[in-house]
Amino acid sequence: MSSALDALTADGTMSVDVAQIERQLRALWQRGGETISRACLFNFVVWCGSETDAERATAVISELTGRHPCRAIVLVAEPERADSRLTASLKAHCRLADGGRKQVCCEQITLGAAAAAVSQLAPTVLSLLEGDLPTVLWWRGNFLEQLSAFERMRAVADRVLFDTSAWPQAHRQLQRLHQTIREPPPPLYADLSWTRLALWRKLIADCFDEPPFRAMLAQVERVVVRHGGGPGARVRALLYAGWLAARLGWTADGARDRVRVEPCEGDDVAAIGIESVELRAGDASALVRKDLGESVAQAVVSMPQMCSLPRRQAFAPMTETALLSQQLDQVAPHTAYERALQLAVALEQTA
Amino acid sequence: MDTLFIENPFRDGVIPRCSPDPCVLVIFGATGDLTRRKLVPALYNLAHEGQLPTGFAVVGFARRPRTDEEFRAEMRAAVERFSRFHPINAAVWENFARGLFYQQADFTAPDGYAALRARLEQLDRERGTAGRRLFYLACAPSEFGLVIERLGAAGLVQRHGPQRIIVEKPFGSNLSSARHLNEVLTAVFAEPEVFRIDHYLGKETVQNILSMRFANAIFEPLWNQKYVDHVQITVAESLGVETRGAFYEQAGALRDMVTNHMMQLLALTAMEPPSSLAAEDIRTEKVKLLRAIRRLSPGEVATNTVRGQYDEGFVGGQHVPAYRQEPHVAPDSDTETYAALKLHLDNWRWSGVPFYLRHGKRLPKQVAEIAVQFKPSPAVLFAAASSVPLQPNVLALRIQPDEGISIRMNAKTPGTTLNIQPVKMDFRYGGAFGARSPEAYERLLYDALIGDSTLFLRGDEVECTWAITDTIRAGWAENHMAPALYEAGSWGPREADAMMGRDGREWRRP
Repeated sequence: MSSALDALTADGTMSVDVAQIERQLRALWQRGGETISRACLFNFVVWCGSETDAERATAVISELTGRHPCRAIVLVAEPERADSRLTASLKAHCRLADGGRKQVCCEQITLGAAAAAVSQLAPTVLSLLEGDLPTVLWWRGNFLEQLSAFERMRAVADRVLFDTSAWPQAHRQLQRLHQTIREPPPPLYADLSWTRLALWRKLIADCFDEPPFRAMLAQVERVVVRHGGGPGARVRALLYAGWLAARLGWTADGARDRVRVEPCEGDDVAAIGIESVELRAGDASALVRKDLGESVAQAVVSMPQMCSLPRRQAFAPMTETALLSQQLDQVAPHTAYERALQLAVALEQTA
Repeated sequence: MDTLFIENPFRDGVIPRCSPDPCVLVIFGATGDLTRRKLVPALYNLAHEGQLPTGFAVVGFARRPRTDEEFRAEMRAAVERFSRFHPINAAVWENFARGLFYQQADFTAPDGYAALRARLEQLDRERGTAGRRLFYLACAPSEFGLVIERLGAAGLVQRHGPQRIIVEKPFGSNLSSARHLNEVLTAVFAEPEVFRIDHYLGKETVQNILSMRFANAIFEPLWNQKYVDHVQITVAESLGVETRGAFYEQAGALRDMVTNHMMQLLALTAMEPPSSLAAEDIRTEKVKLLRAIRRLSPGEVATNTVRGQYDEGFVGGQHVPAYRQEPHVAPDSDTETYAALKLHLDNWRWSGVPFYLRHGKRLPKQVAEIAVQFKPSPAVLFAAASSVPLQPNVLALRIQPDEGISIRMNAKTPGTTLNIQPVKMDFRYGGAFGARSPEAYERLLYDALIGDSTLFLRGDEVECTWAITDTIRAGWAENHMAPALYEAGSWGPREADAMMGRDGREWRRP
């Protein structure tokens, strides 16, 4: 590997003039010779609120590029800072492939903008996008609080990733979120809170594959989702409850009557996300539960004269990289999420 | 009004894979290597991913004495060593192990099957498996017929009941034994309940052949006799026969690899587009293709096939012995460790296009690839300018290692003169998608559990492939074709190069 590239793959970065970014990148890859190949499946634009946030994002990108090679463009917007220049730096993320014979590398461009320069980010990004490839925008932070910048960036994105679990008091902003994601033109949205619910959704789905158990779904009269006080626990519980209600074909009124989203009690609730979900229909019930500290969740359906064997599934908390990776693997319309969000809004208004 | 749910409403398309119905998997030959290295680790991986149904159970059936607990301990050690998840999740293992049982019995003894039946009925009551069984023949091929007959006689299989059977390769050793095995199987099981395994089809990159061909509009219009000059399919191994000498003496390269894996590669490469991705549609197209392979007359066998056997030599810098010096191999063995074939497909699409297949042991490297060589472009424009003839375009699908696709094309070299040189455009799955694919057995076991037979062989498909290779073997016998020796570490016998040379072609160096 060339020494210039060596420096960029460790902790180092190379500061460059914004106008010279593409030229510098071309030179870097040429110097790498035959032993390096550059891979890129999409443009990954990451909006960060500070230098520290950008460092965290860079660590995630470094892990992510092994599975999802991309051109990462990290944007560091600090409108409060006085300096008004647009700065740029380059970094490379490489891994060994082909039995260690070759380095497969991805590039990261970091653009820093303060004060008025923040408005230059969107057009600059546009000039740096790899042609013919989709663009994924990962907005770290709450885009509802930076709507004007978000709308400019959204215009270049095919998909938008965000994480309501990291938004303080996200459950109070669900209605605005719902309105925003419905606005045309619609990129595909993916909320990592929703991704975290994938196993919960699967576990409840697994309970009802068998027709005898499925029969109880027509009579469900109560759904109780219990959650702790962990980051984003409430918003995930609301989305989960909203999704269950939507899949059971309930309207907002039907959901308000039959669904409860309850905080659980105890000294250690701060470490708990969703604790359990229970569906009740007369004497029948389905319960999915994950106890604090356990690495498995358990699901069981009980009906008069019938009981399923408990299903246990490995349930490790997912890292941010794993959540993003899962989202990048599944390009799907956000219809189910949007419907869950709509009913979550109704449920939160009732609470 | 309450809604009646015919389908599970929570499988809303966001959760892609359906969960199999609870069932018992009975493994015949449960103390063998396949169970330990592949089957149980694959099942544990599925359990870890939450893809096994509640109530799922495994009953190991074999001769050696074991208690349930001993079997579980043995399988735990196997999972710790061969699972793709490290370390193993204690809670998932505990739940999985609760469904592991062992039945000691001789395959020949009817009592053993009666005891198995009692045990399965008990599991039905305890684990809600409702008579659903998946039998897995992981025992010696010579015992397949016996086990199937005993299963039927013991009332363990109801006609069109909820039972399925997976049969490991080799499925017979020639057309007549394959037909006999099919008859034995279908006397007890209906054809849709039979899953004949070829683990090559569980490989992600083999499945990718269909995606590459039919998900990209640019290839299919060129995929025919008008544009393709010839196709080369290579499955090369650098290893020798290792400890499999006794088995290999009976099998040889043709039966061990060409009849199954290579014929599958050929079928997937050359078949017509299926009308859907349903198992029957894909398998029907494969069978149509296999039926279109022209049978070779004894005279054609002499000119269009090559047998080889490795002599001593160097592979990877190490001296390796000749095949005849390997353990459990006769010193005067005439078993082939290399086979090369030239086949023609008598159908509209491939008329006149030769398909060259070769497989060998102790070749320079481990590689499997399909190379489609296109006809040369008309030379009128560049012939005068270039000192060497233009290289034809080649599309190579690499199955292993470095799975990917490469295209060789011609480009002008930089400079003021008009020089044309071949360049290679490379796509590597490993570079584009860093993730590790699930093991082939994981995919195949899961598919068998949900009843999807797309990646398994149909009875007529197996018979078709044996019919082709039986003709070749008969030709070899009639022509007294002894295997030509080739040096270990070379690309095979000179006769194989001569076969290509007669057509004005060369083998690729993958």
